[in-house]
Formats: sequence, C-alpha cells, structure tokens
Amino acid sequence: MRATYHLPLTTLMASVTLTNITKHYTPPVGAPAGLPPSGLENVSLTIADGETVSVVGPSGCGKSTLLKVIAGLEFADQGKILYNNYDVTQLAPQARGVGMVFQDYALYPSKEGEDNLGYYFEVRKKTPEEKERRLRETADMMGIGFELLMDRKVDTLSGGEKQRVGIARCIVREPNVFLMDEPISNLDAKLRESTRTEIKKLLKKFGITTLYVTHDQQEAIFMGDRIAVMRLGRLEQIGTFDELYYSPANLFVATLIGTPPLNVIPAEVRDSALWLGQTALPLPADIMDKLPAGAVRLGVRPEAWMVSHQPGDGIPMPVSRVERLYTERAAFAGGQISGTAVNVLVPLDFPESAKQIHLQPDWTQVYFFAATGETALHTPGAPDLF
Amino acid sequence: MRATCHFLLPMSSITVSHLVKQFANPESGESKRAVNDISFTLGEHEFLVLVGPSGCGKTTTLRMLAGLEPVSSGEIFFGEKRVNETRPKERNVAMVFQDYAVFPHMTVYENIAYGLRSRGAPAAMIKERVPKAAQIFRIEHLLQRKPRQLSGGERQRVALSRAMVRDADLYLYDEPLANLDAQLRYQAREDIMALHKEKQKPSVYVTHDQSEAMAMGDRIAVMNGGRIEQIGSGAELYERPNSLFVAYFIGTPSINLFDVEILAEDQALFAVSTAFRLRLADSHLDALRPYSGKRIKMGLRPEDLHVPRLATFLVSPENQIQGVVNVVEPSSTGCAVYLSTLDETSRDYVATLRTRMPATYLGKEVPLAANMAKAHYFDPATEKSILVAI
Amino acid sequence: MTIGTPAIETPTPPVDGGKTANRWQYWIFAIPAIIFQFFWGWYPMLIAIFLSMTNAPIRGAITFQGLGNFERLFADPLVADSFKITFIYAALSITLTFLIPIFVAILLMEMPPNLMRVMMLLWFVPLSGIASTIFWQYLYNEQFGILQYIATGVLGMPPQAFLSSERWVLFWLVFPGILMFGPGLYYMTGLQSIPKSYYEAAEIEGAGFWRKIWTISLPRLRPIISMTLLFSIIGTMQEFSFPDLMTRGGPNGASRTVVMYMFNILSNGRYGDATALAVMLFIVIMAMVLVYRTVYKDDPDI
Repeated sequence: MRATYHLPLTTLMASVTLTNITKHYTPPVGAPAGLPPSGLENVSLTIADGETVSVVGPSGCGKSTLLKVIAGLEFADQGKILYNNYDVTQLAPQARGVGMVFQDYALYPSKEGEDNLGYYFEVRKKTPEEKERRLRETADMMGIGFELLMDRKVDTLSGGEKQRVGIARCIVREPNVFLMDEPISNLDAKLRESTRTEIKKLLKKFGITTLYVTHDQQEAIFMGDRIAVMRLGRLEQIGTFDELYYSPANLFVATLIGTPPLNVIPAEVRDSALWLGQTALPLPADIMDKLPAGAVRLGVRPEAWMVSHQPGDGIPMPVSRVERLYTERAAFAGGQISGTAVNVLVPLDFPESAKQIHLQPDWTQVYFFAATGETALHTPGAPDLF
Repeated sequence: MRATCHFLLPMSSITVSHLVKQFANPESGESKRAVNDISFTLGEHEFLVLVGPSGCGKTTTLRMLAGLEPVSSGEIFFGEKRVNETRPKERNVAMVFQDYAVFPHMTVYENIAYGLRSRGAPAAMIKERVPKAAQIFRIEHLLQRKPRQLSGGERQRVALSRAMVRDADLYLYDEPLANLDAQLRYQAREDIMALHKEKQKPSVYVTHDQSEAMAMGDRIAVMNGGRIEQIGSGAELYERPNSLFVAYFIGTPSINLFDVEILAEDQALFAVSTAFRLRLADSHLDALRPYSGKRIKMGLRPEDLHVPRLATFLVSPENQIQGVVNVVEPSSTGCAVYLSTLDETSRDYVATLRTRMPATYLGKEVPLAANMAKAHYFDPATEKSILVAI
Repeated sequence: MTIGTPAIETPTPPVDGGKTANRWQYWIFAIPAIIFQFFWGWYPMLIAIFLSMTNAPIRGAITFQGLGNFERLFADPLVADSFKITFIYAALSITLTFLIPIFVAILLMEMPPNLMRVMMLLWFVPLSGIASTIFWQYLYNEQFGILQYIATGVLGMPPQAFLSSERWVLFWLVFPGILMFGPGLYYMTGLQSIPKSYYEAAEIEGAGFWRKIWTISLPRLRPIISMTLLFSIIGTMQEFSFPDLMTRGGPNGASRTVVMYMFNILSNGRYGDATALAVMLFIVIMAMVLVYRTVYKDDPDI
C-alpha cells in the first residue's frame, strides 16, 4: 500500500541501516597520483528513527560518498541499505524519498522561495489544493518570518536564508531521510552560528532521521545526537560526544575531537614510573597495569594539566606563548615537552611574566597510546560529575 | 648632506589615514565605498587583525596596503614614506593569500625561492635560505615535490615559507586559514605566530572569524560597512564594546540581546520584558538612569549566565531568567545550553556553563542567574553602548 | 506517539513504485559516438588504404595494383616538390601565426578592459573565408593594391611582386594569418582561467612584467599551446582552399601544396594515384604527430 499523504509528517520517518557497504572508485585515467580514494570500506551504521548522526572526517575520508550512497546518487559495490526494513540498495534516488540539502544551496535561482518549494508538486502532478495546503503547513512549521522569504527571489536571499528555503524545500516532500552535505560551510562564521541553531531546532521539531556531513568537528558535535568519525573510507568510531572524547577508539579519533587537539607526548615506562625526558612521574597502579614496559605515548588534553609555578612540581615547560581567549574566560599557554608542542589551559589572568611552568597530568584524565601505530592502551572514560 | 634614500632607513611603523576605496558599479554608474574613511597606526612589531563580516571592507584594506588595489583617497605611509603610488613589487611586503597562490607548475623549492630570484638574490643566499625557511614549517622533505602532490595544509606552509624566506617590511595575511580543515587550523595559527615572532615586523591579518582574531591579534579592528567600529585589544572589545555590532560580533556563542524597558522603582532600576524582570547592577545605575521608562537593548553574554547553585555572585529572583532547554552542546570545558524564554515570544538565548548538563534536562524548564554587573546596554536608535562613553 | 512506543515496523514503501537504476543506460549513450567514429573515422581510412593499392575506378571492376601507385608517385618530381612546399608553408605558418599571437594575447591581457574589448572585436570580426580571400586578393594587387602603395609610396621600395614572386609567395600566403590573430582566442581564454592571485603573488614577490609572463603566463598556457600546435601541424599540412583561391598553385607551382597537387591528379581522373598520395600524406602527418607526442610530455601539474 502506498503511503498516505495526510498522515502527520513524523509517521513517514525511517530508520536507516547500512550493512557492510563497500564502494571503490577507479581513479580516472590520467588522474594525478596521491589523490585520496574517497571510497567506502565495509561501513556499517544504523541511524535510529528521528536521530541525527553527524559524519566528520578530513577531506577525502568518504563522508560525502557515504551520503551519496544513502541517497542513491551512487551505488554501493557491496552491502545493503535498509530504510526501516525495506531494502533500497538498488533503488533509484527519486524512489527513495530522501531530502538533500547541499553546500551550494542548489535552489532554482530565478524562482521565488515559494515556487522553489512548490516545484515538487508540479513535477509530481499533485492537485493545487494539496500543494497549497502543504506549503502553508511547512511555512507554519518553519517558524517566524518564513512567509516573508517565500515571496522573494532566491537571488535576493542571504546565504542563511537560502539554506532555510533549501531545508523547507526538503520538508515539503515529506522525506524519509534528510541528508545534509556541509550545508553551512559557505557562510560567514557568525552566520554559521545562528544558522546551525536554526537547523538543529527544525530537526528536533520534525524529528527527522538525518545524516549530517561536515568537516568541522565542533559543528558535528553540535548537530549530531551521535557522531561518526571517518577516515580513508572507514568508519573509525561512532558514538556520543562523551564516548568519542573520553573513550576514543584510537589515536586518530582522540586527536580529531577537541580543540585545541589532544597533545601526544612520547614517554617511557621504566621502574614502575613514567619518564618524560628527564622527569619521572609516579603512575597510578590501575593505569600501570595496562601499559607495557618501554616506549609509550601519553595523551593529555589542555584542560587536564595541573599547573604549578614551583620548580620541582612535575615536568618543566618553557612558555613560548600565551593565547588569551576572553570569550572563553581562559587562556592557553603553549610550549614544548620532549620536543612535542603542548597546549595548557590556564586562567585568563595567567601572568605574562611566567617563563616556565611545571606540569603534572591529572591521572584521571590521561590517555595512553602504543609507541607506534594508533592503538589506545588506556582511555579515561567519561568523568563522574558528582 | 643627508642621505635621502628612504629604503635604507629601518621602517618603524605603518600609518593609514582617512583611507577610502570607491568602486564604481559599471551598470548603474553609482559608486560604492568599500572602505570608508579608516585610519590606524601599526607599531613596529604589532600584529593587527582586521575582522568583520563579508563585505565589510577588510580585504580591500589589506589589498590597498599591498598595493594591489589603488587608493581612492587618503594616505598610506610605510615609516616616513608615502606609498600610495608605489607598485607592489617596490613596497617590499609579503602576503599569504587565501588560496595560497602557490604556483602549481613549480616545485616547492622554486615556489619558495621565487621572491628571492625575482629580486636577484645571489645563488648562495637562495641555497641557504630556502631549506631553512622550509624547515621552520616542516616541509623540508617536500622541496622537490610539485604542489599537486601536497595536502592543503602543506600547500599553506609553502605559502608561509615563501613569505618567511624574504625580509619584508610588512606581512599581510588574507584569510590564510579559511580553506583548512578544522584540525589543521590550530597548528597553522601557531605557524603564523612563529613567523611573526621570528620576523618581528608589522603584520596585518584579515579574517571573518572572531575567535581567530581574538586568539591572534595584539590589537583587533572590528570592521563593518567599510568603517572601523572599534579598535583595541581582545579584552577591550569583549569587556567594553562601544556598539551593538561589536558586542554581537565578538564572542561565540554570540551575546544574547533582549529588548527591555528600564523601569525605576525606589532607588533601583529594572530591565523588564515579558520573559523576565532583572535588577540592574549598582555600577550601571548612573549611566542608565536617563533611560528609565524607555525601551533599550540589553546584552548578556552566554558566559555571564550561570547555574544558580554554582554562581559566584548573590542569586535572587531579581537576576534570574527562566527558560526551556532546547539543545545542549558539550565541550571540553563544560557545555553550551540553548534555551528559549517561557513567554509567548519564545526568545532564544544561550548560556555557556563550566559544568556538563546531563541530557535529562532537555525540554525541561530551568532558571539561570545573570551576572548583571557584566551586562551591556545599547541605545536602540544609535546602537551605541550606553555604558562606554565615546 | 509517546516515548517508549516501539518504532513503526512496517517497511516504508518506495515513493515512485521502485525504479531501479539501470547501468545499461551508459551503453545507450555511448553507442551513437561509437557508430559515428566507425563510419566517419575508421571505415573511410581503411577503405582509403585499400583503394590506394588499386586503380580505384569510379565505375567498373577494381584491379589490384600492389604498390604500383606509390612507385609512380615516388618517380614524380612534382610530388617531392609539393611536399617541400607544404613543409615550408607549415613551418612559416606555425612560426608566424602560432607564436606571435601568444605574445599578442598576453599583451592584450595587460591592457585596460575597455581597450581589450575593442581590440578583441577588431580581431574577431566575423569574416567568411571566401570574402576575406577576395579582400586579400585586392590588397595584394600589384598595380592598385594597398600593400603595393605602402611598399612603393610609403616605404619607397621598388614595386613588389607579392603573389607573383616565386620566392616570396609562401610568405605572403601566410601573412594574412598574422593579422587574423590565428588561435589567439584560445590563448585569451587560457589566460583568463589563470587565477588572479598567481599574478598578485608574483608581483608582491617582486616579479616584473616579463618575469610574470615567463614564469606564470607561459607555463600555465602550456597545455593550450601544445594542443593548438598539434592542430596547427595537422591543419597547415593539409592546407588547400586559401592558396588555391589566391594563387591556384602559381607562380610556376611555387605554392602548390600536397593537397592541391592531389586535387590536380584527381581532376585528371587518376583516382588510384590520388588516394595513394592521400595515404602518403596521412602517414607523414601521423609520423609528425607521433614524434611531437614523444618529444612533448604532458605535464600533470597544470
């Protein structure tokens, strides 16, 4: 039986399940060597009904390919895609009922906002009454001021307004799944901030199953109920912010999530202590048990250092610069330990005159990695707040 | 007799006075002022950041400093010398472009050496300096590669090395981080600061990202509509914005702006809206008294809204705002909470907290305490700050 | 729906009745191109090679003659002459109408936009081939032509023979190409696609006018130059209509190119010989192209 259109929007939403999706690209003839392949390698992932999953990773990691495979713009070489329990792997994009929002808006520039929204109904030969009703419903739901946008030519809209129309255009078609490919990365930093709040509110309101692709980890954290980290076509880890931040699967995820990034310092386990250069630090026994003797790498987040100005209180670090972030009511002191750049979160009134500070990691918040490769030996896990 | 060659004198500072750039629109014939009467002085070692939304004239200003864009009126001085008509190659500036402008048909080595060769530097000097500059930015192993074999971050470091290899009198940066992945930006920022520290020359850096500006600039000029709205240190811009625009532009998430009416009651003043009734801090009373009975705009920074139990000031019903929690964005130092007020206007506002807020609070009503001593007030007509006398 | 209710278990129906993507569509798009390539490309070529070894009659039985046609052509001194003339013509034409426009285009790009538009208009006035040929015949007229007036009246030289001079006729045939700007439009398009920031960066790095041309314009134009050069070689080696209209191969055969001679043979009804000459020309051009492709390496960095 076909879906009936008078049902409330949310009943049409679907969960999306990807099983072992693999997609390989043959590089075009004569393509320069060293281009990232941006294919997919055995990706499995479930987006629950109404959930927003953001996908983040460096350029060429396959995140846009993943989105295209779900939309049907590309077909997987292997694997299965289910919308709810319905296999759509071989289905053409127009049959899948997805709504896509692109980075470059992809609106019809010479049409008014309203016609952009109504185009779908013209193509699908719906009755004018139905078109009218759906447009009105959508405009109501899109919130204050949206009617004003409907009468304006797309050319005259600002980037943020265009993206709102783009999202509304998706919503009128009652998509099963919402797919967004860097929808706000063309906007100014300031506009980006207000638009992402706008989008997030709409997604929450409609409860639409959404895949949100971005290269900006901060945006991914904001948008996603869960965050999927990708690299070189592989899904490295998927989870909530806390899971990625406190229990990263490997070194790559650990350094990707968090700004400034996690500092990773070479160290050595010897005589039941941790040696950083010439300084030995006593290690708690529970961590000690997980570490092999010899070379390891210690990961410490900027906020996880205990800072002292007294010599002898831990590892000495010459301060090479201080970056004061008034907006964060904090400052970062930069320097080097064992030849590795280290950032330390310090109070905003950190004295300019301090040339050297002494650091001790907060052992409840440290990470350990193998000396080579990316294996995580120890991660702190989410902290207990109370 | 005095030597008159200005280029041999060490250049002390850059002075820009009443600079204007007028663009004529070829279709309508109207002219538009992209840069409208700006003046500033740049000290000998100073790192100035021009920040503003797109179209505010910051890039045009930078290009006029480089000599890539002719000046419509006003003057630019490099030290004592007026350079309005000097061609870019005679100004001895170095510039890092947004698209890096790394020449794709040359090796990294040739790219870095380009400026030295153009100026006829001796071969020995090129041979010595190019690898050294490359080493500072960790690309010495890439010298024989072509740019297409490099990642975006590496290309950017080639552009930085090219600026580093010469001794320019002025260093210009045109949104050099805009095309980098978020994770590379932090390192690149440090690289740029390293270059500045090494050269100790006046530098002008253009960005649309206020957090980048706040992190990098000794002084920051906030531009809007071709004018400099305010110029000062990050702390000044943040604590004492002189206009609504500066207050809104500096800080992420942005300052929360509320339309309020100032009401006098006994000796106290209250900022009143349909959603809340807040008592003004004593230190603000004198400045705000003339506005009693009037509608003005009040700004509260997200950092100045606190969980009542954890606030460091006295909490009472007279400094609390009730709201419903829409979104919680976790961060390493706490979280940002996006709320809306309970009245029918359902105004959105944001608070950044130093603690984590559990997801169970989503959709719940919570009170937050506002640190009223840190509030900002703006005249709705002029959009100037009421607290900062200009 | 209240929290805790299980998610809807019914599968979502496809909106459009379940069309699946058909990868055979790709072939449907490719087939016309393949058919075209075969009937207008490979088929005539194979037939020509076959016919060059026959008497190639229009009517009647085909008799196979082996390499007889070719032997006859090798014995004909006019064939060698026409090849020599064609080579000289091609070399002249490439030097004058291929290299000069590169620099003209670069200089044009430096001009203010308004002036540039006027110059481009002048160069690209649409002129039909025949009309401009007649126009040039008038210019070259030995008694009333404007070029004769310039030579004698302005420069004070003795009267020039122009197209009647066996020595100079090839030069004068190529000369209009310079003024017609040849492939300049390609260069201008190529130059326009170079990011402005490259020039700005170069200028800030202290590069002057010539250095910018030498280190940025020319290297960036390389693929276009290479392509135009290839087309110029192929085109000028097969030149026919312009010299034919201007000189009919004269004076005394001094401007008779290979294709013109082929046309002569064809007019005499020697179809087999003409086809054999065409095949010879094809082999020569193919050899030149192959040599060119081995010498010139594609630069992937552009």
